[in-house]
Amino acid sequence: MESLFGARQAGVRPLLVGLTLASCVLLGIEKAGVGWLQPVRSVLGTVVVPVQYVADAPYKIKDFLVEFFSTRDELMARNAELRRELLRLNIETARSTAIQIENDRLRELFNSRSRLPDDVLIAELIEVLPDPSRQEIVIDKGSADGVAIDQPVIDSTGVFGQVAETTLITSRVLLITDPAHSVPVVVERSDVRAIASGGGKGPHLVQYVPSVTDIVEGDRLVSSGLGRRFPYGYPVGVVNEVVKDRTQQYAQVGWTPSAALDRSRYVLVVLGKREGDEPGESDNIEPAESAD
Amino acid sequence: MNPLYGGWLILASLVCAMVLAVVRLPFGPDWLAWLRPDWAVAVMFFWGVAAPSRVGPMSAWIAGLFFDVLVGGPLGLTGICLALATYVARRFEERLSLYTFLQQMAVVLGIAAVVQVVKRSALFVLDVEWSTLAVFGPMFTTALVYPLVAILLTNVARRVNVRGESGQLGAAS
Repeated sequence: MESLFGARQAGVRPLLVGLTLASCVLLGIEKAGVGWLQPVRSVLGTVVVPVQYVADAPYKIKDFLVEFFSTRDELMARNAELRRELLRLNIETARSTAIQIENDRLRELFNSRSRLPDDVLIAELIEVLPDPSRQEIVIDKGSADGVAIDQPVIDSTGVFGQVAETTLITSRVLLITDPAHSVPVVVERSDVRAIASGGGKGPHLVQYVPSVTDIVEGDRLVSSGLGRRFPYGYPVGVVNEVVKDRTQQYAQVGWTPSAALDRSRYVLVVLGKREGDEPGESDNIEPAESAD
Repeated sequence: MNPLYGGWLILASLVCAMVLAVVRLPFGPDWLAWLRPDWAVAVMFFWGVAAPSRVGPMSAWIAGLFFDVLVGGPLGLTGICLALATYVARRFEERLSLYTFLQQMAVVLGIAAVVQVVKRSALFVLDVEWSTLAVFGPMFTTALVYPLVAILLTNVARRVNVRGESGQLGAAS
């Protein structure tokens, strides 16, 4: 009995041509960016989830071994350290609550809506995409958990990236250091607005900063909320290099991300505002923001 | 002949290739990532030579879709690369099965080079960064790991009797 493709040589070349055409069509759809393939990717992506978990096993084993072989003293020291950290954070939370209330009251005086707290979801990293020229990860929460494309992802220290693709139970996250990624930021010290772009393995640059702008090394960049994708006020990075050439229109400004992009195993997906959020309101944009 | 005979082994080897395509080690230098072999091409090419009646361009293309979603690449890209590998295997099957490992490695090197150029070109068109190292690393490592893949799969396949049409499994060993 001949199997399905047992006809061998005869029909193989037309088949290869046909498959090449099929691939070209798929790539064309991808290039057009219309998202028609999203459902297909979602289904296929759900099928390969077990593979992603197996591939993550070396890290799981390492975590297990580290925990298994840590001594009682080490654990106690770590426990004490965490308790100190908790105390510090509790005090800070208490303070920030008071400031939040004051802020809300002031915003009321200005007739602008108060900022609502964000609803977040904890997710664990299960895969780092293997192509080293791209900065993307896969997390273990998907559309079934309420994750949707474009939602921002943060970790405990800053903005991590945004959701680029979801399957039922996993999501692919584009990191802020990916060359295809940019975040609208504001310099915390001087309120200058700019765009922080990823540079892949190379330096990450803050774009469109005029040479005369007040920006120096060590300035902290926080998300500005412009562009309506990233909520206002999350730390994005720190300026680590400023080269100002008066003959050039823009200064060359480098930054490093605040988030522990290559170390965090747990991240937070910002699902949106907790209470009735009305899109279309400019609640994230400062009424009177002055650059320079 | 039972058409499903040994098919699970082909599937299992592909799943292993998938795991190897994305597995990360908790240690080791960063540049190691640039040298990751194209396991899918090595495994598919092996089956293309060893069991041409079981693995052809069509099945390779479909398997490629799963690799694409796994590595987050554009759909259809790995598919066409794997289809190409099995096409070469089928086209030159009689000759390839008589080749020594060294000669087969040279063929794999050629295929891996074409595959890398196709992949990188497609990614370039889709505005993903391009780098020369990214072409050469996987190309050479794929050829280097091919004998390992071939020896391992040949031995396992002999035991479970995967039916190649010409039945000359492991002629190269």
